[in-house]
Amino acid sequence: MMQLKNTVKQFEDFCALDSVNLEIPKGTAFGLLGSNGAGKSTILRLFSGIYKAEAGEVLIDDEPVYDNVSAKQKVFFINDETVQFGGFTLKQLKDFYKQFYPDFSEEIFERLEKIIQLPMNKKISTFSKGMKRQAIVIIGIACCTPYLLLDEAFDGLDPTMRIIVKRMLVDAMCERELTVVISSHNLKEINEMCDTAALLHKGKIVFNRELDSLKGAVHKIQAAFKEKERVFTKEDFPNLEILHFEKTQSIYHIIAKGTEEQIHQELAQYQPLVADLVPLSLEEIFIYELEVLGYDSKVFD
Amino acid sequence: MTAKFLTNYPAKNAVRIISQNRKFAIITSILFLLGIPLMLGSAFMSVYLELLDDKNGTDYYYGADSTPYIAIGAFCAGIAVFMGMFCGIRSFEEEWNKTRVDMLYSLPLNGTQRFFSNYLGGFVMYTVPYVVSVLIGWVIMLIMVPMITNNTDAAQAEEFHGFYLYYFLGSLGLFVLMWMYYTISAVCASCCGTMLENIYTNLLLNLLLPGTFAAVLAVITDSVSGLDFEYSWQFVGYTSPIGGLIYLFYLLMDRGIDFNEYWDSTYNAYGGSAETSGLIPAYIRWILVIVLITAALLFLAWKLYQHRKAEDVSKPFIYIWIYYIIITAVTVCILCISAADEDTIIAVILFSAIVYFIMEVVRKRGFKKFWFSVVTYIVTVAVAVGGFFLTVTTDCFGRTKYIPAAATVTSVEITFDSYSGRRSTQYMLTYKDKETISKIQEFHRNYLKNDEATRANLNALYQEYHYNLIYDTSGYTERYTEEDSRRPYNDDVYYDDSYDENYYNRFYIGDFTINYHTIAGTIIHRSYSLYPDEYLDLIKICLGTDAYIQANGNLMRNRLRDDVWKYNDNTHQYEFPYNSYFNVVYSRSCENSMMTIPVYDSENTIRTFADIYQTDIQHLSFENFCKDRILCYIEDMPVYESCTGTIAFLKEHGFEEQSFSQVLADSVYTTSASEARQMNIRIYAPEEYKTGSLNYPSCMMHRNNDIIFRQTENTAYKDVLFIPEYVDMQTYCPQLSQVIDKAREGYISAEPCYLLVVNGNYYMIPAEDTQAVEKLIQLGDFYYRG
Repeated sequence: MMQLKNTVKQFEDFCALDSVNLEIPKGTAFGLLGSNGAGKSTILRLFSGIYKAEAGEVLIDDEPVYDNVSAKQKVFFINDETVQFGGFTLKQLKDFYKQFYPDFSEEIFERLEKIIQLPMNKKISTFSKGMKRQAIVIIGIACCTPYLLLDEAFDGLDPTMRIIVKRMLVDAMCERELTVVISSHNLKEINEMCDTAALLHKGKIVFNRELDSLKGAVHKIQAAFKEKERVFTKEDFPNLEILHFEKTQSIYHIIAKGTEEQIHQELAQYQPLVADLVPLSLEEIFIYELEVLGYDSKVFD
Repeated sequence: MTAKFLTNYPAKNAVRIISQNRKFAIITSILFLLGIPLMLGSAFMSVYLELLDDKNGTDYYYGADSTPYIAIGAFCAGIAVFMGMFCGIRSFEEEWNKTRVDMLYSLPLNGTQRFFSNYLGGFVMYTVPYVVSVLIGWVIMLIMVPMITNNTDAAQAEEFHGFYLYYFLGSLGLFVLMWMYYTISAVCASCCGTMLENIYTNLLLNLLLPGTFAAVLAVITDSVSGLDFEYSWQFVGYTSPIGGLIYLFYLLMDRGIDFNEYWDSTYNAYGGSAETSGLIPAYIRWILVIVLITAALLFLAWKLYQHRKAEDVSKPFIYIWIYYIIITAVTVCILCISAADEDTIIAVILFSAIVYFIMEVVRKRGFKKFWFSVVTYIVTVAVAVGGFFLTVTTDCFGRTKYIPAAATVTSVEITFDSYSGRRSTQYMLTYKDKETISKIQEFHRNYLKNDEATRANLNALYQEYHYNLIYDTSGYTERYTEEDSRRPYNDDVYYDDSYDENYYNRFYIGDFTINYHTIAGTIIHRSYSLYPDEYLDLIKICLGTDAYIQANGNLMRNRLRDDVWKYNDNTHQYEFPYNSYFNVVYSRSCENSMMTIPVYDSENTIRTFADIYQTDIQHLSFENFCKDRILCYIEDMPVYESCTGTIAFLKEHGFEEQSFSQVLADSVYTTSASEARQMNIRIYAPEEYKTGSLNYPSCMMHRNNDIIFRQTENTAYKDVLFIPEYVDMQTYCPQLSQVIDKAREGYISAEPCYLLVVNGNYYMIPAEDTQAVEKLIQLGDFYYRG
């Protein structure tokens, strides 16, 4: 299990993580969502032992990670850079990582390399951005660490290769209880890959839930009420956590947290003429959750 | 298994660094492999060809000048050594290259492992090619030296074999300096977050540490009594790789390369024990300190590396203090310029301010908080100037007055100027016995107590006698006028009554240095000027000691050998006979009045004579030292009348004693200068100094023929104009001849004595002979009128 306990990470005056608590159970495909600068990459760097937390704990399998060789051996971090070790060939890079990760699997590496078909003896500096990404991903998977951290890992990959890489990751998760933590702005990918996700904003966790329950817990509601002259407000639904509330003519568009039953029960007190509930996509949840926190595209209006 | 695996991680990372920087490593290797072997090969080959030319009468050497190849080799080696900075920068890439941080910090290594593996990778990349090139150099030497020595004589062969030692010491010294240089680059890598700051911090640290140290040292030693730059500069050798390189070069070139000559010159100049100035002890001390400093730097770099954070990369300075060290060193270095010329102070401050603010703008990448830069500049200047004044006023925080406890001193080495002779003769004596050490310490303590008082007294003395200083009496009569009876000379020509500190130089007789060698292996060095009284106090300690006796024997032995033997530059040997005689000079002031002592069996004669002289010096008492007549000088070594063995030996070899009046007469006869055909003689009455600073008013120790003594209206003095070409002194004035015969060189007495000045040279008439002088004076005017 990967854990953050009241973790604080400060970059001079900027607080990147503010007393964050997070648990990522083993075998999870965990997505980190968040606005720019929310602290997603910081969490990944804390888990990979790059950053040292100013306060709190960063644990992997109950061991602190920073400066701890045995804990760091359990993690492989793929960041959003593509210029590492340009002087190496893929073979040399593989051999280098193989030295540091005792469970490195040549068999997995060869299998994945055959699928991707990267040139083994060309320098990585001659690779395209996507090829570099593929190279480091197959090495990361072949290292067979229990935890694999990917920061914007699918950037630069073409759609076909994205599917292939995702397949690789899924296979690895199925084969051994691999925990994958993915940070991405691409919510579709998180949606496809992850079973749990956390949304971060300004160094704090907005939510941390399984995606299925998350999607079932937020609904878009289109409703019209019997009392047409009455103007309803958020306050009229005190038992609902409303993320968005808008009225267009006599139709109310509401985004609210809660089960279908809870929502219907709350709406029933005003005898709705229409009450349609539609589950939200992850992207919509992201936008509406952050809108509540003031992170809003309407600043342009 | 796991432990073994883990311990291998750093080595693997080090290999990664070399592999990643292999092009860079290859260039460094080529430069090293081209540098040292090319230099050595070319140099030895040219020597070999030159020898063949000499042997066979050919001209291979002239057709194959090795200088360009040596220059190319030196250039390559220099560049390769300089590359150490970049080895450090490149091996700590994650410290300044943001794109590498994540991958390298996330590797399963802890901070210590990562640091040392980085350090090791760069170090191997830097030093292995050097070590290989040094080994190739050994191979070249082992092949070439026998080829060369097969064509030389034994003495030259020995010298070439001696080169093995210098090569070993030089290459080891350079290796340690390279290690230091590389470690400084590791410190810089830990302190800086960008490539630009890394490079310029490296360059400035390497240049500024020795530069600022030397500049500050020059200013401090100029201002604080007891310290001298001539000795203290050697500490620059510990400050940095560049300083170390200069010191290593000095050690090997000055003390090492011409090994035999060095020992000889040591004996010649000082008569002391050569081992005290040995190359090896100085080298070992230096290299141990450099190793310790480098180890401390490595520890510092490691701790700084551990303490810095991954996110610090791309900050110009992670540890701002290193920047302030640099900027303060730059400012201090510039401010030191004004110490040489006070008139430049405004320009220097302006210049330092411009440099300071340029550095601030570079660091801040703009003009952010510029007012803060102004404040820090003012503080820096104030601290530098304040620090300087504090150092000077507190005598380097009491350090210059520090005398180590007797129990901690293993030996004391003193050097001082000898009073005798025109040539500068220095004694270097080493004492290891506790009794003499404690006497010298007591002397040192008294010196420190007296120092300021003596200077003050001499200052008063100078003020009082300012108008009556006599510098040279020769030819004064032409300028002498009745109107200016109190002053023997024309003002414009002979003295300047404006205040000049340099006049005080006339009040001391020579330099004195003292080196305490402590149990801890340190050397405490002090340098002073000795006044007559202090000189005599020191002589009292040294007389009769083995070191002093031995030194006199050595001086005599080596100077005679120089006189008789000739050093052949081609064969590098002393050859006999150069002269089959040595010279005996009757008077220091009349060096052309001499006789020669034939030497038929040079080695035995010299050895025997030096041994006899040494035995005589052994029995020389302080009373003898001060008051004995000096019968003659052998290469500036005085032969006192109490040196009976020496005198007997000389007489056996034909030495004839002469009266001083005869010596003077001979001297004038044999001098070709027209002025010297006449003898200017003046006699001054005894005059006691009023200050208590000088206990020996009749002290004839002088330097550069300058002497202080007083001439007032009450001073009785007589002028004699003597033309010896056709007038015999004994016939002309027997009383004068008697007085001259009583005159002594180097006579030291607390009693007031008459002073005799002959053609600008000074002699004392002992107090017991005062009556003879008074009889002469009673004769009245005795100008010779032809």
